Parts: sequence; C-alpha cells; structure tokens
Amino acid sequence: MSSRLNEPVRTIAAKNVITVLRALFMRYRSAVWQVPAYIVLKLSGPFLSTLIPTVALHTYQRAGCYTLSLLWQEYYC
Amino acid sequence: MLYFILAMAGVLLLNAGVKSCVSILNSRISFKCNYTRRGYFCRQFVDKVLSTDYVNVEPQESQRQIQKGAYAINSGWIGTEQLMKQSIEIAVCILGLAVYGASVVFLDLRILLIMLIMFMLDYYFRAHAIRFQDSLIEENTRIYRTKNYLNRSGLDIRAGKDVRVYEMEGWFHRVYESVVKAARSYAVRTELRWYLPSFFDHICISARDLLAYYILIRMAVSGEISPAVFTMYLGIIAGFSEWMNSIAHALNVIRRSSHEFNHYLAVMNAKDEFLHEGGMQIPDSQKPLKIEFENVSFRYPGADKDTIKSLSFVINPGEKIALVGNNGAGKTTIVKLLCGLYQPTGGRILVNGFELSKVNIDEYQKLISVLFQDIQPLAFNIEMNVSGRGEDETDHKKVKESLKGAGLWEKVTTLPKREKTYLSQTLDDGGIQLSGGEAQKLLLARAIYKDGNFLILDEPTSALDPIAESRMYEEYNSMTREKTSVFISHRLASTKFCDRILFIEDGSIIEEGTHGQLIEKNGKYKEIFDIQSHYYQEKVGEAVGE
Repeated sequence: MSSRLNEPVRTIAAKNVITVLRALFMRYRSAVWQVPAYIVLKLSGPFLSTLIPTVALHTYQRAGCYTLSLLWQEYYC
Repeated sequence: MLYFILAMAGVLLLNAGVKSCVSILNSRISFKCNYTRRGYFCRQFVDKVLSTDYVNVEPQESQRQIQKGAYAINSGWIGTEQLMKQSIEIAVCILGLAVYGASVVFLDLRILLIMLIMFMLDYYFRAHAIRFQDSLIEENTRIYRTKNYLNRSGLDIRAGKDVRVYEMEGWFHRVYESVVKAARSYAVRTELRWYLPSFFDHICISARDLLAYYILIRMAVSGEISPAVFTMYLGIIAGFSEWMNSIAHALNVIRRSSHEFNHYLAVMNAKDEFLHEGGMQIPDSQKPLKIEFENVSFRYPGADKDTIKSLSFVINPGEKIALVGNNGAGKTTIVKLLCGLYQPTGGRILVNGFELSKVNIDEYQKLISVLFQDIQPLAFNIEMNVSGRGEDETDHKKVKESLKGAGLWEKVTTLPKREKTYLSQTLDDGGIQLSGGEAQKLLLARAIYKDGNFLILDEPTSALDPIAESRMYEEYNSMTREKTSVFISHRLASTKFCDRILFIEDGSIIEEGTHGQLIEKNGKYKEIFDIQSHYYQEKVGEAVGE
C-alpha cells in the first residue's frame, strides 16, 4: 500500500488555466462579462493614451494653428 | 481652436473614463479571484484532506505533498490566484500585441522582427530564472514549513513551559536564526538569477529605441510621415514593447503558478482505496458487529518490514476484546485497521461477513465510537467537542449524560460557562486548558455521545489517575452493553473485565484467552502482569491513602 499523493501531476499550463477560470466563472457569474469587458477596456487604455498626442497635433493643424508643424519643419529641414 | 479644445476634451474624458472603468473592473476581478481561491480551492482542499483515505494523509511523503499543495493556495501572490489573474492579463497582452504588431508591420517590418527576437531572448532568460527557482521548490517548502512550525510553536503556551524550565530559548533562537539565514540565502540566489533578464530588458529597450527612433526620424525628415503620425508611432512602438514584456512576464508567472497548481492537483486527484461512494451496505448494522481478521498483514508506506504479520482473530457480536502488549507491539495499528483508516497490505478484514474494502467506508465509520491514544480536543466549546457538531445540531441532554458517564461533569459544573466553555483561547478569550486526564475524559464523552455499536478504546486510561481509571473500568461495562468492543492497553490489570484477551507482540498474537486462562498458562502475559500488578497496587494504595 502506498499513498496516492506521491504520483506526479504534470498537467499542462493551458489546462490548468481553463480549470481555474472555469472555477472563477462558475462561482461568479458576473465575471463572465466583467473579464471580457476588462480585457477590451484595458487594451483600449494604452491605445487612447497613444492617440492623445496624435489627435492633439492633428486637430491643432486642422484648426488652423500651424505653429507646431512649422516649428517641426524648421527644426528638421 | 474650439474644435481642437472639444476634440481634446473628448479624448481626455474618454481616456479618464476608460481608466476608471479598468480600475474598477480590475478591483472587482481581483476580489473574485481572491474569493474563488479562498472559497473554492481552499475549501475543496480542506474537504479533500479531511475526507480522503488516511494513507493519503498520514505518511511523511503525503504530508510533504499536502504542504506543497497548501502553498499553492495559501497566498494571493503565487499559485492558484496568480494563475487566474495572469491568464486574464495575458489575454489583454496578446490582443494588444496583435493590434500594435499590425500597426508596426505597416511602418517597418524590421522593427517588428527585432522586437520579436528580443522578446524570445528575454523570455528565455526569464524562463531560465524560473526553472532555477522551480529546482529549489523542495528547499523553499522546507524553509516555509520550518518557519511556520517555529512561529506556531513559539507562540504555543504548552511548549512554553518546557522552553522556560529547560532553558531552550537560546536553542530555539538559533534554530530560528538558521531558518532566517536559509530563507535569505534562497532569496539571494533566486534574486541573482533575475538580474540577467532584468539587465537584458534594459539592453533590449535601449536597442529598440535606437532603431525605432532612427527609422522614424528618417521617415519624418524625408516627409514620409506627418508629426501626428510620428507621435503615434512612437507611442505604438513603446506600447508594442510593453505588451511583449508583459507577455514574457505573464507567461513565466503562469508557468510557475501552473507548476505550483500541479501540487494542489496531486492532492485533489489522490485516489481512495476505500469506497466512499457506493459500496455495499453492512447487513444488520444496527446490531453488535462481528469483526474478522483473516491473515491480515500491514506495512506502513515506506517501511521495510510489516507492523502486523498474518494476524487472524474473530470478534463475535457483543464480545469485549482486550488487546494488550508492550509499546510498539502493533496495537494502535490494529485500531487503525479496525477503524478503516488503512487497508491491510495482505489478508482481509470482514465486517458481518463482508469484506471491509467492499463496503461503504463512511457508513461503516458511522458505526464506530473510538477514543484514540493521541488526544486532541478542538478549540470549540466542550459541548461541540462532545457532539462533534454545531450547537444547533447538538443534543444537549445527551451531552450532559455523556460527560457524566466519562466522569467530567463535576469539573464542567465548576466552569462559569459550564459546557459552553471554550477549550483554549484560540476562538474565545475566556477559553480554558484541560489537563491531559480531563482531555481524555472529554474524548471518552465524545465516544459515549456517538453511541456507535462498535466501541474502540485505545489506551483510554493512560492520562488518568488510579481513582479515575478505576471509575472508568466500572463505567466500561455499561458503555459496552449490547456492543462489540475492543479495549487496548499496556496495563494488563485493566483487561480483567474483558471476555477475551489477545496478547500482541511484534505484530502477532502470542497468547489468547481470558484473564484466568492466561494467568494459568503462566506465559508472557502472566510474567508482565506480575511485574505490573506489584507496582500498580502500590500506586492505587497511595492514591486511596491521599
């Protein structure tokens, strides 16, 4: 007779991820929408941060304030 | 100008809103991950450890595995909880990488390629550090276990007496110091392995920036891209690199957490040899049981010889059997086999004619009232300790009767909260400590309360004074009425009132019969009985004289 605990368990990480996430979603139904919402929003956060200076420059130019772009050209050309 | 202000305000507001939502959702999901670990994984783990076969719990190897499994669920920073959190984080990173990667491809494929190469190198160095950390998991578990033990026993009031009287503080302190040193050495070694990926990270970031800025500036100067696009690409390149670093980190954490989670699974997947579900019902289980040992042998896991050797005997329904013998003879192992805590390694045990391995073990254990040698009352109140249930499920009158039967009621009436008094101050500030003898009586009361029709008492008088012991023997007859019982003792005088005595030595029965028969036989039993009775009469005389 021997303990059954000594048998090694080598489940691959992907299977373990599914096991723990299934437990999370079974226990908390609201996590089913919160997790995808979190993923989308977390992804869009840095994207928006990246877009802010771009939008700033773009709209500034469109608004007729060319100072920045002139400066740009003077500096590099 | 107004267009600019409105557009900027809109974008900034949107950004602030998104960040707030992310923060709220992150906190909600973190909370849920935490309580899934505590409320689901921890509970499942405790349930499993409490209900699995004893062979999966008691041996040293199993204890070590249980420690490792517990390590995976006891903290939010490792194992199960990290596996949940990082698997969500990695989904964000992969999507981010895809979106940003696509943008970088439009700009210049070389930037993407160099970033991917750097990512793979970075992942390799991190994985190397984690592999090293994994190789030390045994060492870390040992440090963690020793540190926990020292923390626990350092605060344990029972150990405090010996520590003071035997001046063990210095020794204790030195052991603690050595554990702290070992923990520090472990931390330093693992930390050093992380320096390389960290150093490489900085090299990667610098190289990436150099290359990306060179390409972007060249494009801007040549007029290929506008200032707005230039700024956007700067952000995208920085972001792309950030996503890759996050993926490398998350992948490694997932790998490590999954490795830790496998230890948890090893405990959860442990198979039981006894039938906890299904199995045969024991016929006539309401009547006194008949127990048969047929050539039963037993060897503990990892042991090199049998503790019980081809043991055969029958306990008839309603019979009172005494198992006697010196320390280490195998008496307690027989109790474990009788209780269905272990399966024999050879032969079989029959209950009312049915093999124990084929009956429902939980149903069988419901029929047993047992008092084990190693007494361990729980930190709940006396009443709950006796009934083994919550207060609302307890039969209060029966508790009182059981305490009377065990000879503890007089003591209980002197306590301010009587049977509602807690044992130890762990759960109640007004808790009390019972003496060894009182604790033994308390657990005897538990056996009486359960009223199982198979009674097993393993050294029930080892902590009792001679008067209490004598009183217990008187109670024994009423306790065992209409029950099959086994009484284990190394005090031979205590077994006179049993129907039959089995003298055990080295895992085998060497003499069998009633007290009178064994005395008449003039064998080993008589020899030890004579030595003990002389000493014992003196002790009883002294106690009565007091």
